[in-house]
Amino acid sequence: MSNVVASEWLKLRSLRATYYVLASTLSALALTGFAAYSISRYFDANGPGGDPVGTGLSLSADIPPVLFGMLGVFAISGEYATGMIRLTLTTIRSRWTLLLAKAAVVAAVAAVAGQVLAFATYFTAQAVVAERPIGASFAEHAALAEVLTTGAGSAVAAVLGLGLATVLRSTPGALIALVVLPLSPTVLERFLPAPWNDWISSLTIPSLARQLAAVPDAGAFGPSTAAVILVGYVVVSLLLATLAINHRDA
Amino acid sequence: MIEVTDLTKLYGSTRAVSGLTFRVKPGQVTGFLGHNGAGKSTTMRLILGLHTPTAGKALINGVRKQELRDPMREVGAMLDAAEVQGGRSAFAHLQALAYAGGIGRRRVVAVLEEVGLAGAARKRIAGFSQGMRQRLGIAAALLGDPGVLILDEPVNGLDPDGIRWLRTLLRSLAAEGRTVLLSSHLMTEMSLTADRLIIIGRGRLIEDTTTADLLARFQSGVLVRSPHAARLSRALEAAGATIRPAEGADAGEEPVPGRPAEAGVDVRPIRDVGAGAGLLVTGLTAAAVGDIALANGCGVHELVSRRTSLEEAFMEITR
Ligand SMILES: Nc1ncnc2c1ncn2[C@@H]1O[C@H](COP(=O)(O)OP(=O)(O)OP(=O)(O)O)[C@@H](O)[C@H]1O
Ligand SMILES: [Mg+2]
Repeated sequence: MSNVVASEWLKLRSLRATYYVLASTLSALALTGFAAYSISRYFDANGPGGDPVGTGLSLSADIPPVLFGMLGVFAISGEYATGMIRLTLTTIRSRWTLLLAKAAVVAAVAAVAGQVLAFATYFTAQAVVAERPIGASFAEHAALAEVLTTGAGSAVAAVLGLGLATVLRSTPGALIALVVLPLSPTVLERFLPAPWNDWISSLTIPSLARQLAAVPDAGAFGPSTAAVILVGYVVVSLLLATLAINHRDA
Repeated sequence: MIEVTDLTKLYGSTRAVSGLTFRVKPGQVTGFLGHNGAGKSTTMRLILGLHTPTAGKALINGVRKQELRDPMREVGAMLDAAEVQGGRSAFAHLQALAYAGGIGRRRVVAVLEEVGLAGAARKRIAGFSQGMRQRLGIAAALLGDPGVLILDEPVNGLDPDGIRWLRTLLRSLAAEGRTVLLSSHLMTEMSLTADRLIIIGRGRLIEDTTTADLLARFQSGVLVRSPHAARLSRALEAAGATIRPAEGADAGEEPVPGRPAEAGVDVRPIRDVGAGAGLLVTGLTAAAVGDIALANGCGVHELVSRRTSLEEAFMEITR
C-alpha cells in the first residue's frame, strides 16, 4: 500500500494539471480581496448595517471545493483518457489499493493546500478590512474553527472528484458533474417543501464546513451531523468508485 | 508459464475470444499470430486480468493475475505503447511505476539504459517518436525483471537496430528460462524470434506448434529458370515432380516475337522466353533438378532451393 502511495504521489507531482489547479486557487484570494474591499467601501460610506466581512471565507467559499475536486478528477481521468490505467493496473495487486492510494494522495494535498488557502483567504480579508469592525479575529474561537473546517472541506472535495472521475471515466463528464452538483441544491430548494429545502441547501461542502465549525445560521445541521455527512461523502465516493473499477473491464 | 483454458470473451454480441486453450511455456519465445481483430490483444488483456473473461480462465504461474503476490516481479506487459500520459518525463513515468512495485531508482536507470532511452530520460514523453514510446513501453515491461513477459506488437515502429536488439533481448530472456509471449504481424521477424507459434482466427485456436514444424509442413520447392522451360518441365514431370510456373516469371511476360515456342509442346502456362521462364518444382531436390536438366540438355540460368516463408504458411493456414 505505501508503495502505491509513493507511486501515486510521484504521478500527481509530475502532472501539469496539478499545478494549474493549485495556481487557480489564487483566484479565491483575488475574489475575497475584491469582495471585502467593496464591503469595506460600503461600510465607509454608510456605516454599520450592511453585511460584515467576517472571516472572509464565505465570500469565495464555492471556489475551493470545485478546484480541489478537479485535483481529484485529474488524478485518474488522465489515466482513463490515455489508456494508461491498463499499464497501471498490471503493476498493482488490487484495484481498490490504487483507489485508496490516489484518494490518500489527493486528500493530503487538498487538505494542506486547502488549509493554506483558507488561512490566506482569512488574512487577505482581514488585511482589506483593516481597522473596521466588520472583520473577524482568531480571538473568537469560531473564526479559527471556520478556517480549519474549510481546509477539511477541500480534502473531501478532492476525494469526491476522484470518485466522480472513476465512475464516469471521462474528464469532461467529471468536471461537469463537479460544477453542476454544488449548484443543484440552489435549484432544488425552491421546489422542495420544508424542512427538505433547508436540508438540501445545507448539503454543499462549503455549507457543511461552516456547520462543522458551528458558525451561526450556517445551515440545518449541527457540527456532528455535518461531520457525519462529510465522512459519508468520502465513504460513498470511494465505495462507488471501488465498485465501478472492480466490476468494469479496464 | 501462462495457461489459457476454454477462454471466452464476448463484448456485447462480438465474440472476441472463443473457447481458446493453450499454454505458453517458459524457456522459449512464443509468437502469437492472427489477423486484425482475431483476438490477440483481447486474450492478452484477459491474461493480465484487465478484462474479465465471459467463460474459462487464464492463469499466470498457476494463478489469476489478481492473485499474484508481487505482480511486477512476476509479469511484465506492454499492451499499447501509445497509452501513456505525455506530460511526464520518461524517468518520472518509469519511476512512478517502479515505486508501485517497490523497485528502486537504480533499476529504472538500468532499464532506461537497456532500451536506449538514457539520453531522453528527462524529456517529456509527449515529444517522443513512435519508436521511442515503443522502447519506453518495453522498459516498463522489464522494470520488475519479471519471469513472464507479454508484449503486444512490440516491434512496431522500431528501427532495424531496435528490431534486432529486441530479438536478441527476447531470445536471451527466454534462454534464461522466462516465458515470453509476443504478438506481431511481421512474419519474417516472427520466424526469426519465435520458437513456438500460436495462431488464432476469429477468437479460436488454429495452430499451436513449433515454428520449425509449421514451416516444414508446408512444401518447400526448387525454383529453376531455364530458356528451355517447356522441355525441362516435361522431363521433371516424368521424374515425378509437380511443376508450377513461378510467380512473377510468367505473369505479364509476353512471348518474344520471332521466337515461337517449341513445336508440339503445350505452352499454356509455361513459355520458353528469352531470359528463361521460372518453374517452381516440388517433389525433387535442387540436385535432382540440376541432374535432370543436364541429362536433357536444358540450360539452367537459376537454380535455388526455396523455403516456404512464414507469411505464406500463415496465409495458407488462416485462409
Ligand atoms: N473493449 C472492447 N469492446 C468491444 N469490442 C472489443 C473490445 N476489444 C476488442 N473488441 C473486439 O474484439 C475483437 C478482437 O479484437 P482484438 O483487439 O483482440 O484483436 P487483435 O487480434 O489484437 O487485432 P489486431 O491485430 O488488429 O491488433 C474485434 O472484433 C474487436 O472489435
Ligand atoms: Mg491487437
